[in-house]
Amino acid sequence: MTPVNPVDRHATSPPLALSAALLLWGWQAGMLPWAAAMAGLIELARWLPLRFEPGQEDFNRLWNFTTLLFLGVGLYLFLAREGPGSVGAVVGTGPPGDRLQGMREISQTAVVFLRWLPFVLFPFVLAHAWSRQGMLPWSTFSLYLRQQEAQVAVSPAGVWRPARVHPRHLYLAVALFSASAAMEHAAFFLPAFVAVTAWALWPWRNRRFGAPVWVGLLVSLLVVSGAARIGMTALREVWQQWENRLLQQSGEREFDQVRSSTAMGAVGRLKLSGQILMRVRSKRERPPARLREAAFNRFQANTWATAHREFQAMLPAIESGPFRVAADLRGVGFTEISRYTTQGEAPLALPGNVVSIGPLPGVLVETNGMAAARVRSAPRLLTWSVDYGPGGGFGLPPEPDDLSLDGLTDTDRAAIENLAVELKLAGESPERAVETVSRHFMLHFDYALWQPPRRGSTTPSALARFLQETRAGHCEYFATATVLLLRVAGIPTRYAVGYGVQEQRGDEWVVRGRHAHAWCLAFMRGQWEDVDTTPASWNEVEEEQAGFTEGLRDWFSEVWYRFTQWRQEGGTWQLYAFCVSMVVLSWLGWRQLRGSRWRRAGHQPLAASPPPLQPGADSEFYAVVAGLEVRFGPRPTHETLDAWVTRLGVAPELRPEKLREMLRLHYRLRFNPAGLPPSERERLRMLAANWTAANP
Amino acid sequence: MLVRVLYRGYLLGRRVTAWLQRRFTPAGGFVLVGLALTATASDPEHTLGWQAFVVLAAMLGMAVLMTPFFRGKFAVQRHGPRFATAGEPFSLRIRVANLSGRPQRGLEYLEDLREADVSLAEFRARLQPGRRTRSFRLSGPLPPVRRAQTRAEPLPPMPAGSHAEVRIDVLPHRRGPLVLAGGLIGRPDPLGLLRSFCRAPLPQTVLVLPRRFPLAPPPMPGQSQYQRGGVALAAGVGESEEFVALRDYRRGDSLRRVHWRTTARLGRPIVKEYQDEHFIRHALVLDTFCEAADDARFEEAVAVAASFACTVPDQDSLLDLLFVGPHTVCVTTGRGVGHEQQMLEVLAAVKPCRESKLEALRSLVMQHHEALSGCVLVFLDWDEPRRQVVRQLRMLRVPTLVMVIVPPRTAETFDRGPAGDQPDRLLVLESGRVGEGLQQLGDRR
Repeated sequence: MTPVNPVDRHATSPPLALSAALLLWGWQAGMLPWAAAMAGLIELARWLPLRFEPGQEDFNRLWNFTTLLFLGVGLYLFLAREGPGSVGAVVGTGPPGDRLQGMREISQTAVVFLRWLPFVLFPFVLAHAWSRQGMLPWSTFSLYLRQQEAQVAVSPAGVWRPARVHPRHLYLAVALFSASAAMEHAAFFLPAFVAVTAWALWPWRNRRFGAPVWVGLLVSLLVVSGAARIGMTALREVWQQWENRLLQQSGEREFDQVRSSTAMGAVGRLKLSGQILMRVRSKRERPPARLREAAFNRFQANTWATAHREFQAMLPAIESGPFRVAADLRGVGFTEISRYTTQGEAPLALPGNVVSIGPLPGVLVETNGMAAARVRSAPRLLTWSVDYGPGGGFGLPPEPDDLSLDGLTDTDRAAIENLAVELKLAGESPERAVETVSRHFMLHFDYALWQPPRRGSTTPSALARFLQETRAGHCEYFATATVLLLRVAGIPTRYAVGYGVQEQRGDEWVVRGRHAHAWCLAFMRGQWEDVDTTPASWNEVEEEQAGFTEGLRDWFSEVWYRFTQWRQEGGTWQLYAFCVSMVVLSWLGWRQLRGSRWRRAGHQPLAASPPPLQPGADSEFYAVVAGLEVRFGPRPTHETLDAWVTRLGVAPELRPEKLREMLRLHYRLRFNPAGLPPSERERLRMLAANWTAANP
Repeated sequence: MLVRVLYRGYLLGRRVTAWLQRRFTPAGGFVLVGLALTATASDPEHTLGWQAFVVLAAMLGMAVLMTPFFRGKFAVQRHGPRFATAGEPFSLRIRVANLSGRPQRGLEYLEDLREADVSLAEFRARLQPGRRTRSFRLSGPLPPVRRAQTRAEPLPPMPAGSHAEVRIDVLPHRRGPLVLAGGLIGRPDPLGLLRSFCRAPLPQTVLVLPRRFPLAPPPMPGQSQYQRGGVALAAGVGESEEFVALRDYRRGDSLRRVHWRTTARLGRPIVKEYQDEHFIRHALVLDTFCEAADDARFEEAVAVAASFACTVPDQDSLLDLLFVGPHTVCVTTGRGVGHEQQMLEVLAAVKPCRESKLEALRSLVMQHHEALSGCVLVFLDWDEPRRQVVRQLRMLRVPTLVMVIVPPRTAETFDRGPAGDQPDRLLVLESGRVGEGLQQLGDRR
């Protein structure tokens, strides 16, 4: 028995397998009529004798064109679906939630692109289906491989043929993959996918095993896949639960203007990010040392909260004008602050003595009673200007919560009250009390990001431990202790959080994640004033946290900041970018296609075909050979034409007797010095034409 | 440290790739790529890609489960050439005998090519050009890492106790020894995705000779020269005529030259006199000093040398191949001393020398210059030390033909230096178009 060459077997895909994959894709993607039309056009080639004769170079050009089409569609989707914004959110310096959203948007864009992929590749596959080409070398699909192949010397005997693939196989895989890029018909997708895949793999099966083994394997595959699907669904549910927990935990890291969990009580090193969160520009003077994002007045279990949870919209005095905070004042300082927003929302970082906030057209600004401001419906990169000066600032006047020690544990209360007694704060004027507390912390306390383990500690309270044992901590300890000590002294105080502005880069100041700061607001001289008792060394300690990659990350941050700024100011830049890209891609595509000369096979002889170099080189039997090669793969070089035709011609549909007759005539034409008489040559021509028509 | 990590990763990647290529059929490759795509590019919230992943994983899982159930006993005989040429495929005739006592069908034969690992030094050298010039790459202008490639061929059905023959094509990519470790009888699983193997060890080495360019017999420079003491082991002779005359013995004459019969007749020592021996003898000097970035050009230089070694008519002249690697090497062929095959074998093994020892090469050439009719030098650069070698040879009136292999697109701006007054003695060959450039030699005849 003669072995069947796998190359021959795999030269074609099983009938209708590609159409089935296309229909599955169309069904899933909601484009069934399109898919049916595409499948029809491809399958029609099986029934019609019309064929074109593109060469390898034509296919190379067509694939180049397809690649450009691929890029064009990708670019269109990228720009139309806010791709730059999504990429920016992922690689930018935004909060985790923003990144997650960016990744989701990119993923959705990729899914849409996948759904369109069969459309993009269809012209190539259609051209191939209507040509006489069978398998194509892999180099058709890769410029790199084309170059590699050009470097490899081709032996005169042509023994070595480059690796080849049938475009139908590739397209079938793409169609199946695209079919999976949808959520429709989830219940039927799996069996349909198994059926089409099994049908596509049919020619590749090992015939060593009988049909029962194959069918049994398929049934097993269906059962195993079904069971695995159930298992995967359960696994996904478990994963989603974990993901929700993780998101909740990461969500706590996002800024909350009505509640602030401090890191007090945590042991080990407190590590904050070096990402640039804000950029501050001030023309003449130094910008404010602190920018406040929120203030709180209730303390319990190491967490600060506000009594005023509701935010109300601020309205400018005139439309598109600035938001006046202190109507009868004029600022003496002016600064401009930029930061990224998360889905259009962000807290507004403001100096404590803000007078007015610059116009923010189209942006909704809200505040609460604790002088916290935030924006909604803001662009991705928000820039606001601030006037500030003496007498500025906003926030409700003191209220009972600003003097309350109710939330404190007994240990904390005892520690605070003992220290207040020790500092003799009772009865002191507010200014004097503030000075006493500040001096005490400056002289006897250190700034530290490291908290030692609690082993050997006499108290479970982090605050009491800070005040009585370690006497070192980060700003939250100092701010909390100051707020509570001053309350004991009868001064209304609040706990403020925001950022310190302390790093100048060129003509602007940058605010990093590790510049996050907390301080005390004390009501003195009829207004809320900042009281920062954290030792001044905190700036230097925080700067030591800068990693060695910070310079590089700063550079990327700067580039992305400039790009975002340009994008927001550029208006409809996407449209311009798309138009320019399309012009370039179209020009490149035209360049690829203009050199192709697609001839219709068999009807238009070559105008200037050279005379045959050897007798019989123009034999019609070569068309029959080409047809056999399309169907069964190329003839092995070690096999004579006679042996090959004899081997293949056993199938009755190939009409072996005609093949043998044609071969005899062909051999005589090729090797008989006297050639073939015209009548027999005509006979060969007719037989070949009939055979080719009957076996397209 | 980083290079070591990269090297380990690279080796692992190569081994995994080789394993995948051997184990997976083309259909298995499709399934594997599909599995990777559905695993990485599926969004479970928006696509059903994970269901496709499940199906493909189940398929491969079942194929893996089927692999241990292949038992067979085979004997393999291989008939193949001892020598091959880089870049030119050759065939092996394989005879597989089924000794397993039951018929076998649906099998494939793979040749087990033993690939030598890239050494750390070579890997490091390959990294350097990328860092300095273009980018990190292990291919492109560098010579291929892979020694050879072959493909699986189907075996015809074999009844018990019978045998089958199959032809395997091998495409060698690099010169040097190619180790064929044995045969692998593969059996794809029922789905046709994954092969399981029976090994039949059959070690054999094929020496892959350098690739050669078609070359018309080149116009070799120079005339025949006196060969002091003749050429040992030469089967042919030069222009010497043995026994020119007899003369009286002079002090210093070798006793071997005494003609005893005449000495006895005349009663005084008489010696035989010979004419000096003259041969045409050329030197083929190969420049081996280059950086890793120029390895591709070095391969072309070797190919040029191999082309000359094969083309210079060896019946009428001698050809000395001179180069310096770790040691200085001089190989002589022609006039029966050796055959071009031996020179090609030497060239198949020559390696680039990272340390420039041009002085050693210069000394080697100068040692031979008295015997040389002419000198063909294949250089990889045209810097001052190399120019000095040529200048010195010209001063010694040794005709030279210099070929410099230059990077692509640099021939136009090439500075010819001391060979400027003899443009036909200096041939500038652009890398990638060396064969084309060598045709100019034919035009100069």
